Amino acid sequence: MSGLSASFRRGLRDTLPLVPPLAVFGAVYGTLAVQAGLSPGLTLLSSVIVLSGSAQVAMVGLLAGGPGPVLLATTGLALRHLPMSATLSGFIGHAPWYRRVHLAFVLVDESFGLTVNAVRRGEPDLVAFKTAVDVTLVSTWLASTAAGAWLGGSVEPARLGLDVVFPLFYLALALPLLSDRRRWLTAGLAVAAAVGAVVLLPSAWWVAVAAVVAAAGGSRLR
Amino acid sequence: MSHLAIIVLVALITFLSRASFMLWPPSSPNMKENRFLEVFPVALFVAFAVTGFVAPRGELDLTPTLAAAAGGLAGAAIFRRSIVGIMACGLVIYWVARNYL
Repeated sequence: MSGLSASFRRGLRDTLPLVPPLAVFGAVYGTLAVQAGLSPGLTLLSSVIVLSGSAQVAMVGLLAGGPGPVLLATTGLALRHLPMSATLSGFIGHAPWYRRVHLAFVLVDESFGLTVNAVRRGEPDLVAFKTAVDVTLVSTWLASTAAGAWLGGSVEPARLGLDVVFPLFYLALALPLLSDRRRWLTAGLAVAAAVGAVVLLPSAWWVAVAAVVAAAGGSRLR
Repeated sequence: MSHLAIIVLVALITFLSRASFMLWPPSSPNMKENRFLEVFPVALFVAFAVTGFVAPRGELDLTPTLAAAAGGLAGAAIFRRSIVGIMACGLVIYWVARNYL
C-alpha cells in the first residue's frame, strides 16, 4: 500500500462502508436477472457494460414488456447523469481524453457523491481518489452480480435491514453540503419535489425530476 | 429484439448520459449554469435520500424507514455530520424501530 498515493488510499477507505450493501444488491440483481430470463453470461455482461444498478434492475423488471418500457425507464434514470457529468467535468479540469472516458464510464451515483465530498474537504488528487472509489465499487458489483447469477441465492436486502443503507448514505452526503441559506432552501425544495414525484410519477423518473426541479428552483434563490 | 440488443442499448443510453459533459475539457459555464451546478449535488442527494426513505420498495411506505432518517439526523447532530456516524445511528434506530416498535 505504500506505493499508492494518499488520495488513492482515502478513496479506498471512504468506499469500504458501501461494499457490504453493494455486494448484497449485486447478488440480488444477479438472481433477479437470471429469474427474468437472462443467461448468467448476459447478466454479467450487463453489469460490465451498463454498470448502473438502478438501470439494470429496471431493465430486468421490465424485460417481459419488450424494449419500449425498458428504454423509456433507462432514459428517465439516465437524465440525472447530465448535471452530474457537468459538475464532475468542472472538478477534474483538463484531464486527457482517455482519462475522461474512463471517469465518465464509471460515473455512478456513489462515486459522484464521494467525489463531491472529497472536493468539499480539498482532496489534492481527485483523479486518484475517484479511481480508487471506482475500482472498489466496480469489482464489488461485478463479483456480486456473478455470484448472484451463478449461485442463484435468494438474497433479500430488506430482510437483512440493509434497504436503508443507500438513503442514509445520501443523507450523509447531503448534510455537510448545507453551508448556506440557498442550499438549505434547495434541500427543502428537494424534499417537497421528491415526495411529489413519488406520489405523481413512475419510479424511474422520481430522482431525476425531483433533483432537476429543486436545483432549478434553488438556483433562482438569492 | 434480443436480450443482448436491449442490454447494449441500455448501456449506450447510460454511457452517453454520463459522458455528455465529460468528453471535452470544460468550457466556462455562464452564471445561470454555475448557480444550477452549485446547488445540484444537494438537490440530487436529498432526492435520493427522500425517495429511498418514503418509498423503499417502489411505492409510498413510511414506516419504519422514517425512523432511519430520524436516526441519521440525530447522528449528524451528535457526530458533526460524519458519514459513518450518520449511517451507524440511522441503521441502529432503524433496526430498533423495525424489531421492537
